[in-house]
Amino acid sequence: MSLGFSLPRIDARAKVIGAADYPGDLHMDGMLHARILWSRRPHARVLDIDLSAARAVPGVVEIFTGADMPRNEYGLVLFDSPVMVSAMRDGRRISTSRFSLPHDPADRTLAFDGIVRHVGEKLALIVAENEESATRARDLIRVTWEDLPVLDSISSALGTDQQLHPHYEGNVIQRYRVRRGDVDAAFAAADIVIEDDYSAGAQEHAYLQPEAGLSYIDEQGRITIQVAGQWTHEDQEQIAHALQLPLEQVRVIYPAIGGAFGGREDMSVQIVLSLATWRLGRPVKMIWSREESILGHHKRHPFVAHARLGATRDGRIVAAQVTMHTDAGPYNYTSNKVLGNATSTCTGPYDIPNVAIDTAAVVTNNPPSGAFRGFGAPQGLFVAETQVNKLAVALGMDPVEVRRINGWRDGTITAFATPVPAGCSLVKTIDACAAETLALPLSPTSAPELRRGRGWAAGHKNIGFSFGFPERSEATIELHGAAEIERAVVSLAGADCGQGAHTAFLQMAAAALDLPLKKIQLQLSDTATSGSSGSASASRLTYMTAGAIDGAAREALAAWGREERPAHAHFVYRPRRTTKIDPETGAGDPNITYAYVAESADVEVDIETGHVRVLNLICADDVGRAVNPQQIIGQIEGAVVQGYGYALLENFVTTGGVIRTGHLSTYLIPSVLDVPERMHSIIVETPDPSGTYGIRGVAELPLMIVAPAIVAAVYDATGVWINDLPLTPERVARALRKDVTHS
Amino acid sequence: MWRDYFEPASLENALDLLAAHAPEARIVAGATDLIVEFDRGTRAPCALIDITRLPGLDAITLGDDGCVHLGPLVTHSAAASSELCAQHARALVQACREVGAPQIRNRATIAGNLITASPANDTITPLMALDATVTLRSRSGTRTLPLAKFYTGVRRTLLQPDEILIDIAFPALGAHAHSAYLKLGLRRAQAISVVNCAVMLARNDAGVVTDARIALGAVAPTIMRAYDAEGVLLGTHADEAAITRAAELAGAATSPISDVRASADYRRDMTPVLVRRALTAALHNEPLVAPAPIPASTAQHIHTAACAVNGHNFAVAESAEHKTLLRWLREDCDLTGTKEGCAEGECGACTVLLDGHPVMACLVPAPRARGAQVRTIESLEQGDALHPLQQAFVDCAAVQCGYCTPGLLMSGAALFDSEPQPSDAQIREAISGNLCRCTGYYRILEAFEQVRGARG
Ligand code: FES
Ligand code: FES
Repeated sequence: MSLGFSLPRIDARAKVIGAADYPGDLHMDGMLHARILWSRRPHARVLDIDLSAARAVPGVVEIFTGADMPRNEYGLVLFDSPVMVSAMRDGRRISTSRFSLPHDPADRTLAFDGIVRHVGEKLALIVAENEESATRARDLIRVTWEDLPVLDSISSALGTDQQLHPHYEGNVIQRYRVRRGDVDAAFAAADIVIEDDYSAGAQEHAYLQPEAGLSYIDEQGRITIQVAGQWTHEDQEQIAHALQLPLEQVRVIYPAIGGAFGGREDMSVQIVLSLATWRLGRPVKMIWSREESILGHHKRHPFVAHARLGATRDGRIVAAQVTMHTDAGPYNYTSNKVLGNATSTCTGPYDIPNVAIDTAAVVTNNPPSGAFRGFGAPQGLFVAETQVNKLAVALGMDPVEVRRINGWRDGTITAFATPVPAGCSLVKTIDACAAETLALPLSPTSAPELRRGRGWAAGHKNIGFSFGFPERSEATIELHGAAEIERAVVSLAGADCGQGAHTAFLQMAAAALDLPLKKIQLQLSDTATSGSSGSASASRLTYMTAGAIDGAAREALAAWGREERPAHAHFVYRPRRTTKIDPETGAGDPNITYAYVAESADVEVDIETGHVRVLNLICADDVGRAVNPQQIIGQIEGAVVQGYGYALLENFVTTGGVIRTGHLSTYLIPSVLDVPERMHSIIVETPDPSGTYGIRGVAELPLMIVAPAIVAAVYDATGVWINDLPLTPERVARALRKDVTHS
Repeated sequence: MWRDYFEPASLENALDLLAAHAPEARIVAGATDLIVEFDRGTRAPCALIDITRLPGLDAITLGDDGCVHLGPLVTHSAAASSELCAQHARALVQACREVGAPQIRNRATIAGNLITASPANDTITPLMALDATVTLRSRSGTRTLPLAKFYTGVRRTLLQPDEILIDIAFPALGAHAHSAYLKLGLRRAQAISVVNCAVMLARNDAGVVTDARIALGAVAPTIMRAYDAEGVLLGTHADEAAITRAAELAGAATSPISDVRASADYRRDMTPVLVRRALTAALHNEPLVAPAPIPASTAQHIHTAACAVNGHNFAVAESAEHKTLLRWLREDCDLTGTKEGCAEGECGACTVLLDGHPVMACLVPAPRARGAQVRTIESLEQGDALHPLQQAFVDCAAVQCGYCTPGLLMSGAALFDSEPQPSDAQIREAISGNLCRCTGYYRILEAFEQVRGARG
């Protein structure tokens, strides 16, 4: 059986010898080079874009603006963003581009208004024979602006009549409302009520490979782009939509991808490069600088929340109330979906009979927010878990015990008034983490300025796209040979962003076909050879692809049995359907299934400087079935360190919508000297009854609850709760001082 | 980028070039600061006069005058591993080890750092606490200034456009004098100071303080001395009360600003904490931990138009005159294994070996590679056999997206070349300038340990 063992990843050799090609490494003879002119203003009307001086630069081949886009719009969920913002008068013709929002029955198309709504809007694509000419031309483009008032916070966007996006009334993209039981009565009857405000800033993905792509016309005349993304077929659709071309005329290929973490789910270079190749018929390459990367893709949603939690003296939670606003930036990206997941996590994986949740995604002129590992759950669970940790303190109870008492079990009715999907293993996962943690008592420190403490957190992550999204994943298998199967060609589109997906695909295909690994030949990440696998996100890829491979293998083997040579099968896997939730009550069945996680963190706080060091971090993850344990450990460790960054280090700063941490010298991610000194991963395997081979998912779990575990550990060390992320030394030091002056 | 790139054959030649291209020509060694400024467009293109090939300018010596002398080409790495500095200027060693990443420290010089004159600079602070002087030479003469008088404002110094800094000197600390440097940053590696502090305490046999110096960084427009605070220590036993008083006075003397890293209030509050800790450290004369070894340089001072990349000669063409080494390797040599992740010396994805030393190729002018030996990731494999560290990366799952991998492997290969049995701390230090966003570093460390174990 090829499942459950640590096959070294299949692309490791190419990567260690420097032979793996990332998009920026690709080269074609006669290729042109492109650069973007960015808005760099958070809110302004573009009156004119004067290209005359730029066009005169030797080597410049063409400059494209929004007026060149056949349909100047894109968006993963809603077509609500312009590909390039056109001037009101662009010198050639008045732009007729419109926003269409296909999911809106009224299809309120809106006259194009020439407005940039954040600093990372694209205004023009300069294509030249070499990069220097493109850069020089870009710097010679003269834009005439009229600055508009900037709404740079949730509160300013909610407290104004000024509507930033024509489609989003009241500057709200999406609201969720969940009502279960009677919270008012329950709070009135509760012995203990915990009430507090929480917030967090944005987080930048900072994958090491900045955006890049190469577009060209392939041998079959298709516009082809090699790019790093997370969902080949979605990229293909969005390109085809903006260029108004039939799908078959667009081809998307992913070479090696230098990390993604959700940050490559939306369009970066895809549409503009395709436009250039379509119009010029030549290969065009573009590489973004790090600064452009930070400017050009979305961030994790900043949020503010107010939460109440009521319990009886014996530790039973009886009521939870949360209001939460996320800062979406000016366009949706995936904000409505992220909000759904924040809503479904903000009261935690706990059995609470009375729940009231109100959430909203708010439009501002800050950089757009969207998908980032955890997808709303890090925000939701930071609130939920910190509330539970405070409850444990107020009750004088062990925080693990409080979670055991209230944690979901099979049959628990959730806030959505439907049962938890079968196979709930929350308590088992918490116990696994607790056993390991308690075996290693917190060691004391003698230094007078240092304090040590321990904190806990747990959480749940939905697997797959939720709230009624028609989830699906395709696989094609072709079996070659005569008497015996000699070779199986397995075609899959799923993206390996670094997580090891392709290695897992190989193992799953070998298992499903009962063939040795060497007989499997993978054909990967190319819309021309595979059906859609869906996105490499939402911890869904292994779960969904397993279903697709398993189905295709069954059918291919059946065809083989019928003596077809080669035996061919194409299979579309569809997991169980979910539903939207009721707009008034939240009732529904929004998630396919969950995976569960529990963590403990031991920290040391320098009470004078506010520096927090993580001594030990233990993370238990129920992945259902570990296809490749070594790669799973890699996911856990990498995610924990990103969560560490979110909790302590990564401070994305904007002022008036303008990014102030636009480089890796100002936006700091953890170095090898920063990470928890000891990290221990525990793989729990409780097969998920809904999934193939029992697989759940893992990629997001470990990140989500690092922050609440660290915050609780800091409290344990110092007696001070810090409700705002990240815990920069300054923030910690200030909180500790404030506490001294108050007591 | 830069306009012209010169490699003078002598110091005199450099002075002539400087005079000829004044006022905006710049003497460079590492050029690490300048390239970032050019790249961001915060500095107008100007001529660069690279003096790194001039012999004899990289010495660290103890002079007859009782002073330690640092030549203008002394890098941070060289000072950090200098016995002489460890003995007579511990604060300087401590500071040098906190500058940027190892790849930067191998290229960036202390002299360059003094001239860039960042108010958050790491090495000016200890040199001020050591009462250093700088000697400047132009065609019209030579002058020596105390470092404390050298700075006139934010990033402004008394250096004239036609002058070269040719010597840094400070009195060697005797047996009864100790120095210490402490820095508060937001990260443990590669961090810019939020506040830094260097102190020097000299005491007589009775333990009475006979001399005290306190220098502070990132709390004023220039690195500053806290003279009042120094004064209250004189004649005391540097007891807790005296130290507390000195720390308070030092805090009161600051005039910090708020920026994206920290507020003025935090800087003001942290100054006394740091001063107290640094004074205590100097009193206890806490020992240094052994740094990661730096490989022996394979540099030859030869002038040829070609660069030996992985043993093959590549001409650095006219057209590459304005490129960085990274761009040249990727675009002109077709060696795309070396990656660009930031182009500002922060991520280490571009790490290559320049004359045996790991450097950030994004911060090296391509013409600097003429006559040099460069090794990239493509050279690690011998025939079909992976380098042991490459194999360990595969075995230990130290590779995820793999974009950081070539840089990490080059840092690692250099480490094992010079130290087959590095300590855990040395391994961490050696890769502290290589960021990885995927793995959390644990499997990478395991791979290093596997190689160490196999060689042990
Ligand atoms: S350090 Fe050179 S590219 Fe990042
Ligand atoms: S493996 Fe992706 S950055 Fe290190």
